[in-house]
Amino acid sequence: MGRPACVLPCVASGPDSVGPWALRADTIHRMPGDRKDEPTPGPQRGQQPQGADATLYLHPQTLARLGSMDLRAKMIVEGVTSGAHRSPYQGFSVDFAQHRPYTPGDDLRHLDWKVYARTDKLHLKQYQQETNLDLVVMLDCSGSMAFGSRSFREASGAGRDTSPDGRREWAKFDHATALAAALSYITLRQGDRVGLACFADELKAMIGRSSQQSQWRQIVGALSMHPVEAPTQLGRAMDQLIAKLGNRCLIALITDAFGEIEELKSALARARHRAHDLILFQVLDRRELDLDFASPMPFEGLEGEGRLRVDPRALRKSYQRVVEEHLAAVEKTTRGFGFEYVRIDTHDWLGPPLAAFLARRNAQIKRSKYG
Amino acid sequence: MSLLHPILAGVGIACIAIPVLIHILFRRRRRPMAWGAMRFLREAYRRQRRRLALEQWLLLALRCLAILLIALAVGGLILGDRSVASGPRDVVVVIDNSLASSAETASETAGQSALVEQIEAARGVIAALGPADRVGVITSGAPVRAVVYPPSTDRQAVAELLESIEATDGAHDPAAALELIDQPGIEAIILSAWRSGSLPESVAAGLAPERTVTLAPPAEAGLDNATVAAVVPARSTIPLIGDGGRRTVASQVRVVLERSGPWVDRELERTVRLSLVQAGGTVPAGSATARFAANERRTEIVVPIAIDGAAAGLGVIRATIDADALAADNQARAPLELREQLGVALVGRQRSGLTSVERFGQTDWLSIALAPRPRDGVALELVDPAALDRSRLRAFDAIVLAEPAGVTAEGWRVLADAVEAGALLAVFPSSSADAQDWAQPMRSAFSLDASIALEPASVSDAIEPRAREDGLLALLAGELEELAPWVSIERLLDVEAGGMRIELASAAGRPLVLSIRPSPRSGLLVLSTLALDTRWSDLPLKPLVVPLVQELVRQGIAGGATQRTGLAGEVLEVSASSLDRLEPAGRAAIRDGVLVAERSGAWLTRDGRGRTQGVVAINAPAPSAGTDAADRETVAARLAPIAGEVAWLDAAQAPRDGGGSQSADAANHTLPLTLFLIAAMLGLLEAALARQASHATTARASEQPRAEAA
Repeated sequence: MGRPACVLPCVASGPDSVGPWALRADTIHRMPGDRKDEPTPGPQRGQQPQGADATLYLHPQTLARLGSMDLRAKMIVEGVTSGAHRSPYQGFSVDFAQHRPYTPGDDLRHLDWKVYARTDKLHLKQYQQETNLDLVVMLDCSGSMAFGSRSFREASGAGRDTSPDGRREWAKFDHATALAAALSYITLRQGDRVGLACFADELKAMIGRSSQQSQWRQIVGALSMHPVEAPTQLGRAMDQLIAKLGNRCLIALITDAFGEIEELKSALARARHRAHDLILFQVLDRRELDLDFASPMPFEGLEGEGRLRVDPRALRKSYQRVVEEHLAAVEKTTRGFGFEYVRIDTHDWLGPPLAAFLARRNAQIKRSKYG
Repeated sequence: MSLLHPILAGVGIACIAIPVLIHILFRRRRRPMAWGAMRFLREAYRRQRRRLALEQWLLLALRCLAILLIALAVGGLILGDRSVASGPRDVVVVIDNSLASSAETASETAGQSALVEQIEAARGVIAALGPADRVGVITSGAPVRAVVYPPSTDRQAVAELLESIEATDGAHDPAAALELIDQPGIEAIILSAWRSGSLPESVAAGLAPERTVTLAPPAEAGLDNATVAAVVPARSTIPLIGDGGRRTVASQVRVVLERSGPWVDRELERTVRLSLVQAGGTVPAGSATARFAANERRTEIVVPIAIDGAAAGLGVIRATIDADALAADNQARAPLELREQLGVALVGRQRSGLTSVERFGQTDWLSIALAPRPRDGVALELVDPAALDRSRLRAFDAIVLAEPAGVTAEGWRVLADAVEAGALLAVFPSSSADAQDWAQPMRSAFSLDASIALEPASVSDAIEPRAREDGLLALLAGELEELAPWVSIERLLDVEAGGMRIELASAAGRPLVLSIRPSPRSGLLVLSTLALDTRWSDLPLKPLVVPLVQELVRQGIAGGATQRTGLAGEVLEVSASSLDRLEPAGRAAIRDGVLVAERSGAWLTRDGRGRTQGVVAINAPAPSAGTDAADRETVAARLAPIAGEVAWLDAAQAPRDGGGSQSADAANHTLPLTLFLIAAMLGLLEAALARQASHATTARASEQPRAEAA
């Protein structure tokens, strides 16, 4: 429909620009136990992209909630470096895993002589190899993410009334970028690799995985500069992303998931097929759920769906029923592939649901590790 | 169904456009809302589209219907025809109290006039009305009078006022009566016997052709009635004859009689008795018997006036016939003035000591013609043309101008004033000079259109031995026939008549005597194109000259401002301030220079100082005295121009028959309230449906959790 793409948030230009992208020292919270002389993973003072304001995406309250958490993969992913995550490749590392009977051809160095002495049988010792977590944040940049009804001042916590591009509303994309920044921050703090993929009808931008401290700057820069445009084609974007991933990753899919269920199912099936883990963060605006308008008005689609004049009061019940059906289908589909599903409301603080999610995820990992 | 206030209803119905306009304006004002979840909105709309459309149309229909009902209620929707259904009803009873209503009815109700029957019928109509109905009364006999209008709810008082209605001698004028009903929605009921005298002869069409008029049924039988249609005295101003105490009058009166009713097919004799009615009393003036042949409706008779011991003065000559069904039309009257002498001023210079006829001038000839014998009823006085004086001329009944060339411009103005005051002015061409330069000042003074030659023309002509039947010389017809052929004319003043009436012409068709009355109440101006001079014609030497000049003067004096005739019920403009009754039965009044008589009679008119101005004779209109029976078709046809639709009021029936109409009345009374109630119920239903359709309660409920969340 020719709706011009908006940019969320915009990039302020010029070296003298202050405010939105000028990071304040007190906005970076160190985690408990961190040494002050050690560089903090993620954004560092003086390292911000010129003109980028991380406070818009990583609210101090969010960071405070996340500071004590470690992001752990539910599943054992393949890592290229040792880390806090278990590797699916059982080897001969530090942590004992199990014994197995000896078969001809096995390396005799791994025989457990103590078992042989006691039982007169040959068994090999097997150890679990710890590996690093690769997190790929897959962020939906489609037009529908531009909707928001919450005031920017209240949501950002940055003391501003409007976004850098002049909006007074806190869009779903704002919330999604904040979530992406939070996940990236935590991942980098753990020393794991993190990458970013922005998509709409195709993969629009991609930042390769890295655990370097400069990765934070690149991710925040990309989040702040990426335009919101075009309709969603999740399946195509997932195909393009998976083709770029050489190893198994944890994919954090942040989207409003307003597309067709079949397309979502197709995308998740491809991720499952490639043995990737996936967490679906469905970002929604409360008004999109309620259709809370008091008078008839024309509605115009953000992804070029045209205009429709309705009386929202008359349609509210039916609309809520349709939305609920869709959300239930999204959750059911996601969980049906064994993936996590998290619904996030832009009117809520990002911290509590994210912290609750991480706590639940860690608990699951512990249960699977220790029985 | 019809509407009492169609304009209000129209405005109300136009208000139906308001909800539509609001909807359209509302649509244009809104800015679109950018929406991400458009897919779900479209899906929800697809699911609800039919229900929403139904709700919207239903709401629109309810709103429009409610406004429509309110419009109809305000507009006064009634069941049935607007003219016969109302709530409450307004009824005007038009009662025929014209001349014909005085006719006494048939034997079973002998002695009772048709008017009494109509008043009884009016009481029945009023008694049949509902408690909230209003009634008015108008009498339709000329002059039409609104007894009670606008209609009143005090029906008892209206019924009592019916007693005060009296018959007039005027014509029946239902059109004027209906014209008084200037408000819409009022029922008109005309109560009349509809005998021929009550049928309007000609009514201006289009007065109120949409009005439905209820009529009383016509009387079934006619009544025998004879009418004195006209009384025409030969002269209206007559000099007394004779000396001493016993003065006589030599004149005659033509009396026209008409008759109607069943006796028309029979021969009939009526005795006509003349009376002279003066302020001093009434004296018999002669009688004669008039005869109607079978099937003859009109006859005339000439009755000689024979008065023994007449006295000079103003009065009327009255003709009376025998009594019959109608009394008021049994007599008619005409003004008559008896004079000791007629005062005539001869304006000219008379030369004394003339012995030769050839040396006689016009003044001499006129002097001889006007007063051939002493004390012959004419007091002649010679006035010098250069010494015309208003006060002096005021004393004369007639002014004969023998030498117009000697009259100055001021003199012509004085003469014009005298004519305006009622005097006769007879102008003869100047015989002493060929140049007739007086013509232009005269034309200016009297504003004449006539063209008068400046010099006489030499002709060889004679006098046409016939005069106009209604002209000044009508009574001279016999003499003209005998004497005119002996007169030859050699010189004549050519005159184009303009607006003047030719009283006498030459054999070649040239005007000889012309007359004009400059204003309705002024005297007469008579112009002769022939000078009484032997050089002009031999008329002065012929016997015709005396009767011709005498008739011009005597007849010209009559009919001036002092004598007026009229018909009862008609408007007569007069200059008098008051009336002095000559007959006891007459009833008339003067208001703002207009005399209106309800009953025929005779009156002396007086000016503001109480001086007698003249006499007025008012007669009953003869066409309104007809007593022939008429059928319903005839009545309806005569009333068609003033009544679009005619309904008949049967004798045993109220204006609207009882049960059905009363129930319709009740329904019409409650209909607007019912419409309002239905509209209110529709409004409530609309509010509930609109609330349900818009889910207004849901909107409020959804605000609660948000507030809590905040």
